[in-house]
Amino acid sequence: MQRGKKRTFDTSKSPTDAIKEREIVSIKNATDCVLDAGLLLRYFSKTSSFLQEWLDANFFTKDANIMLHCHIISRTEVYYITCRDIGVEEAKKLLEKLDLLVVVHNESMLAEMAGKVKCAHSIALGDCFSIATAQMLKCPVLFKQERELTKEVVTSLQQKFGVQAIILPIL
Amino acid sequence: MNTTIPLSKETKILLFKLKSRLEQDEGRPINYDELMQILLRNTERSRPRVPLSEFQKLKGILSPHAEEVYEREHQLDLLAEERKGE
Repeated sequence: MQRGKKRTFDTSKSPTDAIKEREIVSIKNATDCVLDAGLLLRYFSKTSSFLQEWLDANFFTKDANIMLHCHIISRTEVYYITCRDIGVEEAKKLLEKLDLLVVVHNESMLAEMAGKVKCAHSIALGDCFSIATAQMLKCPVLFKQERELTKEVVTSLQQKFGVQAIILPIL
Repeated sequence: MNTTIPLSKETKILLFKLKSRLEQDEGRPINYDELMQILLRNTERSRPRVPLSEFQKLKGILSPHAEEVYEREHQLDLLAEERKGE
C-alpha cells in the first residue's frame, strides 16, 4: 500500500462544525492514526450515524493509504462487547478481521505513558492507552464523543502530551 | 533513555551480521537503535494488508444494545479507576 500520499477528504457530510477544518487537514496529512474502542464499536453498531458515514468516506476506502492502529486494550474491549452481544465465535471472527486492518500495540513503554495521561486527566484507562499509543506513534487519535473528553481535555492533551485527539460526533 | 533488552547469543550474532551488512550498504555506521527501527519499519511494511474498505463489511454487525453495554462499562470503569486514585 502506498503511504504518505495526500488523500482527498469529503467534508461535505459534516452536519456540524464538530470536526474542524484544521483537524481534517491534519488527518489528511497523517500517514498513521490510532482508533479508540468506543469509535470502533460505534462503527460496528447497527445504529446508522454520522460517524459511520464519515469513516466510510474518509478512512475506510479502497485506496486509503493511512495505517490504522489501536492499543491491545481497545482490542479487548471490542472483543468482550462483541462476545456479550453476539457470542464468542463471532467475537473471534471479528478480531481476526480487525487484525488484518489495524496494527495492534502492546509495547511496555506505553504503560508509563498512559499512566502519565491518567495522572493528568480523569479519563478511562483504555482511552489513556489510546492516547499513549498516539503519542508513541506521533499521530492523531480518533475517539467518538464521550462525556469526559471535553474541549478542555482535548486542549490539555495537545499541550501536555503533544497528542491531537479528534472527537467524532455520534449524531 | 537507554534500555537493556535480553538477547540470546544467537540473536545477537544475527543482529551484528545484519548491522555490518547495512553499514556496508549505507557506507556509514548504524547503531543498534537504528537497526531495530529499520527492522520494525520493514516488519510493518511486510505485514499482510487488506484494503481498509473491508471495514465496511463489519458495519452493523453489533446491535445498538452493544453500544449501551460499552457505555455503561466504560463509565463504571472510569468511576472505579477514579475511586482507586483518591
